[in-house]
Amino acid sequence: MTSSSRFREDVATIFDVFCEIGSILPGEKSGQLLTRYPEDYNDESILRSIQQFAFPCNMRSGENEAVQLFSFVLTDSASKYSFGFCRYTPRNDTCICLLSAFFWPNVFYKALNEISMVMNAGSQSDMDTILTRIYHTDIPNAGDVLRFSLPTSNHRFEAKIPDLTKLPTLREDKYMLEFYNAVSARQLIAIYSSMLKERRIIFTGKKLSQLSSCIHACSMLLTPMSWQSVFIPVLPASLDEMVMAPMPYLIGVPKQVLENSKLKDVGDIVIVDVDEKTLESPFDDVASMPNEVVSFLKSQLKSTTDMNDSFARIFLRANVILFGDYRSGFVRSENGDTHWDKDKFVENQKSSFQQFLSSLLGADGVQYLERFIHDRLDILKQGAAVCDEFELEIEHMDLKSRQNVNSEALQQAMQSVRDNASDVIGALKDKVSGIQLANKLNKLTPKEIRKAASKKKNGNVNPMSFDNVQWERMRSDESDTSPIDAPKSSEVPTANLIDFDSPVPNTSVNKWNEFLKPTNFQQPIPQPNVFTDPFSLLETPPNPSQPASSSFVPAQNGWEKFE
Amino acid sequence: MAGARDYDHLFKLLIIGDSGVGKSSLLLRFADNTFSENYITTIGVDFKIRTMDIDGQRVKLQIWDTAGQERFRTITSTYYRGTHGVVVVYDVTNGESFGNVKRWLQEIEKNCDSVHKVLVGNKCEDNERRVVLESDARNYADSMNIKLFETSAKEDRNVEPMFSCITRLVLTAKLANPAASSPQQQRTGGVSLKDNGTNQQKKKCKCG
Repeated sequence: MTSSSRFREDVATIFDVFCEIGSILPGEKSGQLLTRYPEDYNDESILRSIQQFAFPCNMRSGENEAVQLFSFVLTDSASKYSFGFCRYTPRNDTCICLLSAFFWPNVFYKALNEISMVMNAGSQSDMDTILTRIYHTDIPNAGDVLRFSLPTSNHRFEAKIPDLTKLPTLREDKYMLEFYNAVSARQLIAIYSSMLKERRIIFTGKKLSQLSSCIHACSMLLTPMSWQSVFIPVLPASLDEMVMAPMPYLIGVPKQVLENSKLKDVGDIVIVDVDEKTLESPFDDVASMPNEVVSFLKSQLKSTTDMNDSFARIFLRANVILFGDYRSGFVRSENGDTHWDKDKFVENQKSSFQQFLSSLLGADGVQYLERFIHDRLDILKQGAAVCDEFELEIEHMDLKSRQNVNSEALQQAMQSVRDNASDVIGALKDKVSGIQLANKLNKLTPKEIRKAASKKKNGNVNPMSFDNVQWERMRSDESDTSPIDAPKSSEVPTANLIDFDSPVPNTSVNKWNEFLKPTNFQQPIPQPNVFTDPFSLLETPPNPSQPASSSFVPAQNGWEKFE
Repeated sequence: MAGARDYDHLFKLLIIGDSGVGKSSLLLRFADNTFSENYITTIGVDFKIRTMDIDGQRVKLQIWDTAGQERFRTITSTYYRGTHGVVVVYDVTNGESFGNVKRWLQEIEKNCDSVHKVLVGNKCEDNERRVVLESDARNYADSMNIKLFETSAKEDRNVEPMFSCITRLVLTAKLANPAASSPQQQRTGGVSLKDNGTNQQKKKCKCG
């Protein structure tokens, strides 16, 4: 887990404490602590917080008599999260809660359902038995299945530990599903754009489950980055003044609480009312996003979503479109220090993106991006590689744009051969030298090739052509100005800020190249294909377990087709 | 919350600095509501309130603090967007806390230059362990054109004058130019809206 992660570390037990909380007595601000497990748990301030957050307001409404599963978050002094998973039963007007460092909503909600059955049907010792079993289980790994047999019945408790490195699916992730159902596509785009701008954002609604789900799901839209500022999925009535906070926040305010506090002195905030299905914002953040991203989101959200991760993937891809080229900002100065150069990154982006990105990194500086870059830089410095969904998607989307371009280039080449037979021999000669140089090219990452392409594009030459780019790159290689293979390249005058797109000859830098070229992507040159819109493929999500490999053939094959 | 306002101006200030530099102690020294619970370790954010009288004007101050600021190499400008002023605190016995403060101030200077700020070296009673010289800090503060206060929250030295100073700075700016000193205006400046700015500034978009 990287340092921008807000998960606690060094956790000894699956949950910290279990509590049963009774309703708020008149004149009090929080619920009553009825039971706790372990009985000797004595962190008074945590217990007080649980009383406050598991009963954030008077919950008996008369109109809503269904059991509610919701969750709150506590933030400690190091800004790390503890998750409170709650099950409120209107019949008893009580709430049971498991507080944990682990973000495993489905596991804990399932456990709470079981505990609730035992509470209703069994004895106190049955309760103790099940809580003891869970509490004393070794911490499982992602993908493991937690199993218990229950004291009161024959059936067994089973829950799979989620893999948080995977994208959430609508089928399995309650938060994503409730969020997806609560807001329209237009609102989603507006919410995403305001998240990117780190606004102060309030969700409000009567149902605590929907409310807390929306806040959690909302924060996932930034994946792989994480929300760095104030994060309160359910705000208790006693803390309603916190909506006056001047810094970015993401807060779920129960309808009852919001109505009473009347939003005095809050300033400009974005409010999403999930009951009324309205979104009010004093900002026009959608307008400031690059058009490509807006139309990408519009078209993607319009198409029907399956129950897999394609909903979450839409936003991951939007993040790739915006930030996926972040590596182009890495530079290594003469003293060997590595840093991330904001201006260099921005210059490398499409002109239609530059203003937006430059603002996010400067005047409108956002913390999630700063943290993300900082973490990736740290990982690079350690010589480690990242291979998460984001990086896979970067490769995937890179390859697609190349695929598109390359097919055109191939067709042109074929056409020219057909058109002019006298040029055939000459063309073949070119191809032969091309094959030799292809060995060198194989050492370039898709990123490097694309980078070369964008340089060419900036120079107002031809429309980007993968083919042209390769040749240009090769020529410069021959004249020894581009250090593709050559160790002496670091003596090139331009190397005072070494561009990581160009391999640099020392061992520490070789590690960098490994990073730049995740090992599961072996430089495939795409098979000629018929895609014309770089985003057209996105309609079909890739199978994450087989990253993009099936649609591509090895490099040599691409060249062989020339012959 | 009904009834007439009990103040003429409401200002939101931020207090920033590493953990352990004494932010909470400074707030406790200064605030009216010292008996309220501290929520910084519960929800990661908290504020204290103080009402001051400055030149006959009743000013209500909310001073906000958040948890875990030291984890940020830079505190980026969205953090300051809704505030009128920033109290930047380091610990005179901790050189690293001074280093962080310098980096954060540079960021404010670069991207949020309309935010008022004051530099505070706390724990000045502890001269034996002092590592940040007052003269160095003073030179730095002068170069950044901001006021420096060395305070002792423990012995209640210089706390009141420091908060009065930042309040006065914010108030003076507001009285001189009521529109420009509101945080909302800083916001629109930061977003760098395009030409039809007036339209966008207050545009309410009701979706759905």
